[in-house]
Amino acid sequence: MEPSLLDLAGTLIAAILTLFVFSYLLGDNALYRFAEHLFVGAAVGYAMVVAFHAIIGSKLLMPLAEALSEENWARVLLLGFSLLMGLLLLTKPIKGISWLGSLSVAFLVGVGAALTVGGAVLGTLLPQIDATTNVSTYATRYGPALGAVSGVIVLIGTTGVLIHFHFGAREAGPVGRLRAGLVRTWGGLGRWFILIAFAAILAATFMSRLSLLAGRIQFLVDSARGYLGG
Amino acid sequence: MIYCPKCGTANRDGSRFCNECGEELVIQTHIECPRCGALNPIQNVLCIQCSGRLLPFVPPSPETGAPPPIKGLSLPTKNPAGEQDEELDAAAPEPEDETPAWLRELGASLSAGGESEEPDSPEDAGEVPDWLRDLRASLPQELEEQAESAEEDEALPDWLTALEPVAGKAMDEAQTAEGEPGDEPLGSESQEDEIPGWLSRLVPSAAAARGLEPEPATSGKETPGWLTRLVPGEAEVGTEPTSTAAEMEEGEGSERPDEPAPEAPAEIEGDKIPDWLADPSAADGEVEAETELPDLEIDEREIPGRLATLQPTDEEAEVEAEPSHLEIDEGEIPDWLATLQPVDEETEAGAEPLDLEIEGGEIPDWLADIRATGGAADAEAELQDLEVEEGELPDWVAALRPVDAGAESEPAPAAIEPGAEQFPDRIAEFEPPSVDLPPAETLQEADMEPPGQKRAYKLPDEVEAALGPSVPAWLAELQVQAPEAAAAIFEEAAVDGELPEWLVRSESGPDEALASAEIPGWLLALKPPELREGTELPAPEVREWSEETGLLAGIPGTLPVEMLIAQPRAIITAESTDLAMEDSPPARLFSEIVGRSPDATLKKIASPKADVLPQTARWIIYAILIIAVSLPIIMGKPFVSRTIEPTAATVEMHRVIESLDSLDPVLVAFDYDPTGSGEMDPIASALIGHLMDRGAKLVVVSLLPAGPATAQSLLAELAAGRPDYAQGYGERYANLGYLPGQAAAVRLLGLSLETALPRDFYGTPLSELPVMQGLDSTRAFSLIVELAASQDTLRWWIEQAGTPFAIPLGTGASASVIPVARPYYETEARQLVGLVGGVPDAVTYEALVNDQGSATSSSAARLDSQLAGQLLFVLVILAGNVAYFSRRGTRRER
Repeated sequence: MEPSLLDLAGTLIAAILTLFVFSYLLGDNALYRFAEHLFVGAAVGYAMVVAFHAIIGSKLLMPLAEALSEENWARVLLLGFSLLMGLLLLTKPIKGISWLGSLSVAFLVGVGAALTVGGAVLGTLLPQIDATTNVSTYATRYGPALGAVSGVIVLIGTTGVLIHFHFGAREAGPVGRLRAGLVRTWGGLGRWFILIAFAAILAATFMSRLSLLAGRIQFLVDSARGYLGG
Repeated sequence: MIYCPKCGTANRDGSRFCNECGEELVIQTHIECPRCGALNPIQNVLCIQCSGRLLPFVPPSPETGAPPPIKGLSLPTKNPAGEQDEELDAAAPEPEDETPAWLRELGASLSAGGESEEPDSPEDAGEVPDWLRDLRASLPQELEEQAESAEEDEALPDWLTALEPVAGKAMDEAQTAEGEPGDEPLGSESQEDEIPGWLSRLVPSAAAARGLEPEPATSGKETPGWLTRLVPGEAEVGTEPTSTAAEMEEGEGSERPDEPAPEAPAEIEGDKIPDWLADPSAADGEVEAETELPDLEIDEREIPGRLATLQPTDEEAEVEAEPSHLEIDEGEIPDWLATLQPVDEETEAGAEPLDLEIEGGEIPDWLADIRATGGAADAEAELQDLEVEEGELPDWVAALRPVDAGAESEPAPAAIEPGAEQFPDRIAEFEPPSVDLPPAETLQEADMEPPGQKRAYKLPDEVEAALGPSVPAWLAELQVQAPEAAAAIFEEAAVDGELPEWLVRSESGPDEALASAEIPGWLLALKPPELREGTELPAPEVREWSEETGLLAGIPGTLPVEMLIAQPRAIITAESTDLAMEDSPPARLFSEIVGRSPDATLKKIASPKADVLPQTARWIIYAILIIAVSLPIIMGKPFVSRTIEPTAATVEMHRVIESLDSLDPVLVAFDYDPTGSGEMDPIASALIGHLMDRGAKLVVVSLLPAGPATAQSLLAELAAGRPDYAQGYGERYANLGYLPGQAAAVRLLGLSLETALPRDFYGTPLSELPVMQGLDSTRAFSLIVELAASQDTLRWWIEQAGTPFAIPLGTGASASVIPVARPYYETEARQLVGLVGGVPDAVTYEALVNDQGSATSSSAARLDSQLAGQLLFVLVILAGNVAYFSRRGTRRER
């Protein structure tokens, strides 16, 4: 299928804007700023269109109209309440009645926090604790030797990281000294685990950005080949 | 980095706009160092590279006036005229270094009294501030009398007059002889109160002597105490210059220790006229000495009190005192000094010698000589030895003490062994250098000069070097002078400016001289503002003190609880900062150094290339990176054909998808937008292509607004090559569009799909899409594939959909998400059934799908591009570390 003229123009513009963005490697310049502003403007405009069509129109106004026409008052009440909460958010910039918007914010924060905490505990915390403590799982997956070593490392590292974040006053006596020594040694080992984890995240992020660069270069190469007939 | 003033985002150096909010950063974000050209943050004052001053110094405006002059530590200072002269003479080679600082300060403090003229009344406002008088008014009657008597000693403070134990008395006696009305005697008790303790110990016998003789007569004003010590022998201050001149004819004999001292004139009582003053006039009987005598009659105001203290007992020659005996080795006393001492000693033939166990060299000989001269003429009381440990008391100070003690007619006080803490540090720490005296002949040659000739007597260089700063040059010169020569040198030095200004006679009037000299700046700052004079600060109204609280409330005239000087209001209104700055010479010097213009002090050097090299290196690295990444893609094939081993997570993902039956519903979360499509498109293509190959029904949603459009373009591209999907939108796959609400939306999707997404990306109701038949929630799907460019969306799907509803969830994630996604894969229940992370995993997954063991040429080229970039990055890191450690080693060697 031959690409349309609009597709060709779009590809050409995208390639040029990509070069504009790459010009930032040489320093801040107007071409980069032009591409940046154009991207931000296009993204905001697109997001507004999507928000209206995907949310306000399709999920609020049109269902509300249908509910009214169908005289489904329960649905009308639900959608009307949603509309009211949304409108109250618009009062936040108004000084005298900004407190009205706090109702919507409180509702959003409350629901969001409940979902997030519940999901984190059930979906992340408990399963991860179980995976950390259940060393036999590693033996099953990676064999007895490697699994046991992996399980011990994970257990020591996880505990060390938790100990490293211990904050408390130094206590006298044998118990205090024992705890201080534990924090110093095991916590210090946990700090190394943190450092290794951060290093892994940094390396992975670099790999991700390098993939983005390669993708952009491939786009430019493919575009050039498309225009040049290669 | 440049931090945006609007949002605080850190932008790269050189940026003109904020990367986050677009705020213009054209505000002066750096200050270029005028010295080295380095860019400094705007808040810096000094360059971070060369420490040069970045901002030009703004000199103080003329309206602020000249800074207050540096004042001495003691109370009186020079008059303004003298200060101006000092500033003018600053450029001249005035030998300031020859005089120790503390000596200058002390001299400056005493010179105020010496330079001022005799005031008309003891209550002259210029010498006793009103506020001090008020303070004194609150003292008991006895102290008031003592204060009044102290005021009569107009030139010097009372405590300073106490330092003139005998010389002052001699001068008083001289004034009595001149017929001036005697003032009230200065009580010894009051003097003891007014003299600092450490100073009173220096003159232990002086106070006692005054106690025995409660009539010191008038204060000595006309006889310069320091000159009296220059007179070789007993002198007699006569009212008639002729008699003095006649006696000076015999002064030649006074230079010979063995000759007896001439007797004082009969018409002058011995207790009024010091014999030693009469002696030089008799010894130096030259006619021209008569004309020089008026010059020698310098007011007491010109007498440094510290010098007056060095002539303790000459005027008490009439007392049958046993002369002290000083055990000083021969050769330590210059001959010219030896000639200055014999008269007193021989006058008091029966005096007992003063034994001083002083090691040779610790005392400047000229001081030792003076002490011996005076001490020999002092009281007949027994003198005791001094055993002062070395370091506790400067030897020259210790040497003075027994001389004063000898002035007592009563038994001498107990031996004083003051500790170092009893003296000011500058005195306690002062140790005059040991003097290696030159041969006596050297000095004798100098003494061979005619006595009246005006010439500068100079000690040999080695003596001056040995004396160091302890003895100013001008003082050393005066020591070797006969009185007339000393007077001549005094005048000459005053003209030439060699003499310290505090010794120069003041030309200003008494009020002007005393007005600004009485109170130093730091003390003036404590003065209550209401008592200040109009020239200093606007004095507020002085209201009479009255008690405000207590039983005496409302009664005026009561004593305030606190003294006026202790009240904080005076401190608040004082310009303490300025005074503190200007009172300290180091502070003033520092101010001058800091205040120099950078153009005047710093050389303009060529701008370094420090910024160019890193920029060039950065560009080089960029170019190499782009070439390394682009080359495999341009070539379109891998450099090396190889078999890629997939990871276990990738294999698991492939296995899960491979296990799907045809038409199994699969929910694909397209949670990336065009910004991440460069990395995520290969992953999404591999996974969605495999799903299409398996004939699954695909329902696509996205938690990002721009995600559905990105998904739609990819779906259209992938469906184009598969006949079942080419015309099957709504039949085999559907794009439900943007799912707002983040975690809550994902949760809602598990409850009701139609509630969460009533319409698809194109606005079609879900009920009208065949592919959505029977799919009311996420629980109806066989698999959820999360294409995550960020860890947040992945966690939402895991926590709100996969784990709660036990739905198999696999992910194709960006490489940056792998560290977060991996633990979910490691759980026993497999919260993630599979993981495809980054482009390498995508390529291997593609190879698994193709069952060829290797990726296609384009995918392999993409993988080579990725590996080339990573390899270059590793090399740059290694090179940077090597350069860093080598440079650090070089710095250590330096």
